[in-house]
Amino acid sequence: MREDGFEALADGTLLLTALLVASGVVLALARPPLAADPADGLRYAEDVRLALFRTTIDGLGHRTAEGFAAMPNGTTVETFLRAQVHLRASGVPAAAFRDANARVADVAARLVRPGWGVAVTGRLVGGDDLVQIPEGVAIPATYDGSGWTYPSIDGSPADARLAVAVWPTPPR
Amino acid sequence: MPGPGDRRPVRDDGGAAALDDMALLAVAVLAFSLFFASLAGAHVMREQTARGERLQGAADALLRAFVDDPRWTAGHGRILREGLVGLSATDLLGAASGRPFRLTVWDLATGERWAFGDGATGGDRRTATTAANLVSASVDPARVTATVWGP
Repeated sequence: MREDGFEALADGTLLLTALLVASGVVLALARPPLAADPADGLRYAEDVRLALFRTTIDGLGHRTAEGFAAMPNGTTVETFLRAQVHLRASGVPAAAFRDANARVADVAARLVRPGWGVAVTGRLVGGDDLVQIPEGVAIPATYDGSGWTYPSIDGSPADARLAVAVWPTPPR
Repeated sequence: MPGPGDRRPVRDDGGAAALDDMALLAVAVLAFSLFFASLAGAHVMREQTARGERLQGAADALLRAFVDDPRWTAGHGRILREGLVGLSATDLLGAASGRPFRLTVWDLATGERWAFGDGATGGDRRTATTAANLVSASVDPARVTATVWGP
């Protein structure tokens, strides 16, 4: 090969490299963004919370030493959870609510989109979680949440906070 | 002085230059082909993304319009069960922007389902789902799903 030929080959290789890099850049810029709009997730969490808390379930209540303390039929999940936070704070064990919480967990699990996880938490403002539905669920580090703070139902100074967390499974 | 029958290789400078030019031309053609193919691919990807976003926006808009419409809801996400009785796909055509659609309301307590719109058999489609309630004597949990088709 002539000396000019080697130069031409070097130029060609340089051109090929430059255009390969340019092609990669073009394709990389054309890729759709991976992250969804955070507002969509928050709006969805709010919808799930409202739908779950407004739902009425008959036969909710908790076990007592004397038997079963039933709430009136037509009680909303929200009212039941507010009462549960209050009772748990006053010393009623979590096990007393296990059956009713399982029913709430079942409704919540069917309410969310297929492939999504959901958890409900309740606590006194400034305190630890007193209610967690489903029991023992591990909420991932990243989730979309919606909550509401309620005045105490017995006039005590501590407000109650109920919240719902939703996340795609596996978490993105 | 070569005698008769002597065969020696002869270098033709013009031929060698042509071969070198051919190699360079081949590399250049290959490089530009890859580049323009990637440009075309990027354009197609962008168009597909934009079309998907438009369809997803249409599905979201249909879903929002349905769960907020005062004709069959009592506030956001509170769907009146009796309001669904007289509802037809025609009532939702405007919210679907004229695209083929299918909207389903699923009562999670009773298992009843209401479906509006026939959808389409082919084409791209996007789905939006949210949680809501069906309100009558009781308030049942419900899942509402809107699917929109487009070219």
